[in-house]
Amino acid sequence: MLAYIARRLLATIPVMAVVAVLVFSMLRLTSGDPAAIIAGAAANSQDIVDIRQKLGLDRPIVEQFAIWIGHVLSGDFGESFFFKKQVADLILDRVGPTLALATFTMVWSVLIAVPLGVIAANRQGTWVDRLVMGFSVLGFSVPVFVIGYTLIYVFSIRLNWLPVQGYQPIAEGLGGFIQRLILPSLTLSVIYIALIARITRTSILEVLGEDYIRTARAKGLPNRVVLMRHALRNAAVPIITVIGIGIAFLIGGVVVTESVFSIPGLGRLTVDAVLARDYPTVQAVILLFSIVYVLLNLLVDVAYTLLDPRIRY
Amino acid sequence: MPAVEAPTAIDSVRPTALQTGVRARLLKSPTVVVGAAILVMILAIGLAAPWLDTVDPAAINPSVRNKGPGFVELARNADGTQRTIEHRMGTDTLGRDVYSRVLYGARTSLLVGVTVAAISVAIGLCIGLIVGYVRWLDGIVMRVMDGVMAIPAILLAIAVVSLSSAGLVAVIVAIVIPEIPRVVRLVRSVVLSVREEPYVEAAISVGTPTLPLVIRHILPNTIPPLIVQATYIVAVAILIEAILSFLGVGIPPETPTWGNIMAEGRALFRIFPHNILYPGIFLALTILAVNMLGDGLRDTLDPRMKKRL
Amino acid sequence: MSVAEHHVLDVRNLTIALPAHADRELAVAGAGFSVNAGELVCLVGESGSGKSVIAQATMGLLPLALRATGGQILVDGEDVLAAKEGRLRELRCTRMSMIFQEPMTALNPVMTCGDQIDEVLATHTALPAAARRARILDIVHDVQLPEPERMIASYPHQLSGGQRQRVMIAMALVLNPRLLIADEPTTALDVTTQAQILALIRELQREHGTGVLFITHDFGVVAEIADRVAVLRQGEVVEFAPTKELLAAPAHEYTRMLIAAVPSLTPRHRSAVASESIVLRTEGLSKTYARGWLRREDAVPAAKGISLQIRRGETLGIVGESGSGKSTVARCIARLIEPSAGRILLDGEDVAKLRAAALRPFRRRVQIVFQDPYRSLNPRRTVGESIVEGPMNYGASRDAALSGARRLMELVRLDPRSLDRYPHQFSGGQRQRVCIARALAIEPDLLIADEAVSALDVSVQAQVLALLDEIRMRLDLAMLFITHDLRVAAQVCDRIAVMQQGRIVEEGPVAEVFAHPKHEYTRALFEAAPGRNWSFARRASV
Repeated sequence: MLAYIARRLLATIPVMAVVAVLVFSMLRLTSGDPAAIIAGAAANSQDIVDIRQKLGLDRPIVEQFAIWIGHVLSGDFGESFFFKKQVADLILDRVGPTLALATFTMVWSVLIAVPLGVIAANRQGTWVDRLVMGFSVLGFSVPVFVIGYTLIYVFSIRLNWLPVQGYQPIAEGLGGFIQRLILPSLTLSVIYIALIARITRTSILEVLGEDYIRTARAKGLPNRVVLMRHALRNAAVPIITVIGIGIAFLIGGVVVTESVFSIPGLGRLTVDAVLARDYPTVQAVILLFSIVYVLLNLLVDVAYTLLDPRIRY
Repeated sequence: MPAVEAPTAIDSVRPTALQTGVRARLLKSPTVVVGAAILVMILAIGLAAPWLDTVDPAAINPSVRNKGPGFVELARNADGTQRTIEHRMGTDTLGRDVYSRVLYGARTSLLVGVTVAAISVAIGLCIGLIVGYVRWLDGIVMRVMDGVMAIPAILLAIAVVSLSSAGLVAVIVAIVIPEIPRVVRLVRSVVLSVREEPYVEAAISVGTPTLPLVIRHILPNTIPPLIVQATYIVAVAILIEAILSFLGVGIPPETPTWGNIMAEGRALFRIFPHNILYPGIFLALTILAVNMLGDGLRDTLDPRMKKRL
Repeated sequence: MSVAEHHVLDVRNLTIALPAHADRELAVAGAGFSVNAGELVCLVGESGSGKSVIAQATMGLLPLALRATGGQILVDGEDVLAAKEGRLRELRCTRMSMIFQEPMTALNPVMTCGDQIDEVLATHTALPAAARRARILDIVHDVQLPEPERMIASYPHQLSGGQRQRVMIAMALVLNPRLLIADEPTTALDVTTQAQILALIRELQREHGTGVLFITHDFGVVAEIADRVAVLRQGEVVEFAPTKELLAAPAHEYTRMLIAAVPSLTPRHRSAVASESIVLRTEGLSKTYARGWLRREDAVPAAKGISLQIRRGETLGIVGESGSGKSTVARCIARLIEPSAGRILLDGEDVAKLRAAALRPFRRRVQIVFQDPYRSLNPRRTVGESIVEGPMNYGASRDAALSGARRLMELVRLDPRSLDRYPHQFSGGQRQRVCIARALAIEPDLLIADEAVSALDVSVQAQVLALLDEIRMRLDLAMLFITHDLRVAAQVCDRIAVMQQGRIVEEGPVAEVFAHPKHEYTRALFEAAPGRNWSFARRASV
């Protein structure tokens, strides 16, 4: 089993290498002098020379890549001239809200979506099933920001139950923290719940057609047991696979949700950085998000070994 | 000789009972019909926009900015006469007619959606076929595809757009790039599974060279799942384009898209929600229709796809 | 009345309707038969006869599309058709149990075998955990699984097919039901494993007095284990009689036809092969599949040191169980895969290591017919297009190829006008004939049949075998016939090679090998063949 985990870990290295190459080449693909772009509009020529030297922009490209990787691995993501801070510091400042939003959303999305999918599969063809599937298609189709604004309109503007925007760290009070997270989390979770409920239903329906379910019924087991012990446990692998893949949607949604609700997180940072052509920051954030995605999917792979004994050996 | 003789009479062949035409089955599926109907309607609206009582969507008129739906404007023509313009959906922060912008916006959104789908399917199909058949390329190319897929699509699109000046072409390229790996994956998996089929081996053993083999026997199997995938890509492309425009990194506001109409309306949303709600409804409806169409196509053409995403 | 009390299973006038678009109205039409305690009744029929439907109906597991519209199924006197779902659940595994065909997929892959047996006990009894475990160990021992403790803790994928089937039997019999329904439980197993499982079922039955309803399509199995036989055709029981009576003097014409179609184990007398010319020869042919780039040493050879020769006008058979490597050898000779070592000599030229373009002339001369008629033809191309593909690859014009195709269709006894139909419009046996026509279209010297009749019903199988024989004689072909079925080999082959774990263990003229097998594995194969003491069709010498 350890061999399996080691192999999966090794397999992520080429993927991350490709991501690193892609992110690195971003800056080099623009027209114009990279050093000047990084320095920004308000820089003077001395700044530009400094940047060029620090990043080794006059050296061959392979060397530049090596220098950049070296910096990244030691936690130095460079300096943002737009925000006038070290990028690493910028990220640390903003990571809290994003983490809170994403974790909150993911946890309660899964807790809602999986049972919904199971119920829909169990009552296939009835109005319950159609309702869940209808909601799922809807949730997948309506864009995140449309949902966000609709919710704001209903709950904040008309009903005045919840604050419109903003974020409050836990340190400043749990009540306010939660209150401000409800609407953004709800917004973000719609697409995730839609996705997972749908795949849960599909996986379980597919498993229900397998031979061992027929055997379970032939043993006289009650339907509930067949569903939970036999169907769900076998459907678990595709379900958590999708939970892993869906994190990509979550990350994309975070970017938009933070914009809608004015949450000072990494998503907002990305958008602001792109608008300002602040490449070091954009590079760093994309690299970070991608690494997180790859690692989380690695966790999913490891979870497989717990769920499916065939994968252990 | 065995007691059972080989029949000397010519064998009969079972009649064509079961294979009803694909078209008939498609027409029977409610999701296909409803989804397609809505899409056709929206397409018609977009194409017919100039004749549906609209004005120039880029016409700025600060004197009538931020008016609510139903506001009637008295405009002065070039020759001094007056005409009334009814702003059914109100006006935006620069006085442009939201109704006109929404209708013209349909064109851009659908155009982006279909173009992205066509290009990414074309490129993905080629790469997928090659990778499925040339084994030594498989490892390298799929690692690269995995790498591209590791970057969440919206982030990648944002990054690509930021590399060049904003515009229609940039947006299309930016959305095509993250969609290609998924198509490649799909085509590759079809190729790998079809390659093992006995009829492909039979074709090899009667001497069919590789290229005719791929075109005659392998390619047709990729078409149904590709059609379904293409439909989903249309939906995703419209969505991503809207998000890009909404965030301000997409198509600039002179060309209206539903996303940038909403972007314009962000600041004063609390007081003037119409800027966001109307395009939002159209956007949601279109994407919903495309997704419904995709689901219906999948159920009819390729039920095995249900387990994939 | 006292006779009825002994009936463990009594099916009376059972009628089950099919949904609207099926090719007939009723799945089961007025079927009637019975099973007594301690008796084994075989339900025999070809595919589509409705035998599985009857089994499912007895367990109350009919798919929703099928409805029982008449008759009764009495299990120990109680009508299960009239029972409610709750009552049926109580009865399952306590009064009646079922085991299925595919042991590979019939067990839950994520639960241990012990847990799956435990479920039965936990659901139907109030025994505490320790008592359940003791009972489980007992039953696992009874089904002759080695190391019961380890078996219980194992997962299904760690066991072989035969072992999994024993676990299924353990699950079914742990609560000592009165009726065991076995739906083709040995069809997917090797012949030696099959013999063991059949013996096991018989023994357990005698020990506990269980009534067994054994569903099969194989008359050899019927001859081996059945007390009484019910023959099913299109949902009707056409004959129901004690085994010896039925096999010796079948009353119904359909039964006669089925029995006559079963190939005899006695090889028929075949005239010596006149021609001495060798079409194809292999020397030391080997194929080893690499197991990933990290563990090259672990690889087990699929085939090793295979040396054969096939002469014009002769049929060489390769017989073996699954995993013996016979299909690997066939695929190497057909050059669908590249051998790891050895030579394949066609007219003195070694084609073993040639690559794609260089193989073209070779491919004309060796053709192959595959096992699965449902996957051997491209469903999107007409039958005619599939047949003319070969000749056109080698330069024939479309017209010439089509007229050739028409002649071939007549040769395989299909209507030449149906060349523009699609594969799904033909039955399995007909499709296989199309595949034979396709193989013959480019006039090969050697025809390889890789389990070509294994997926066909026995009556259809007889027709296709007769066809192959006729073709071989008329066209003076050499044929390489791969099969796991000794009966088929006996009737079709002139010489036979027996393979075990990648090697040939015995070879020779078929009459000799069958009469005096030298290798112990060959002897074991013959011992295990079900119904070997019954000769079926009487065959005249050729």
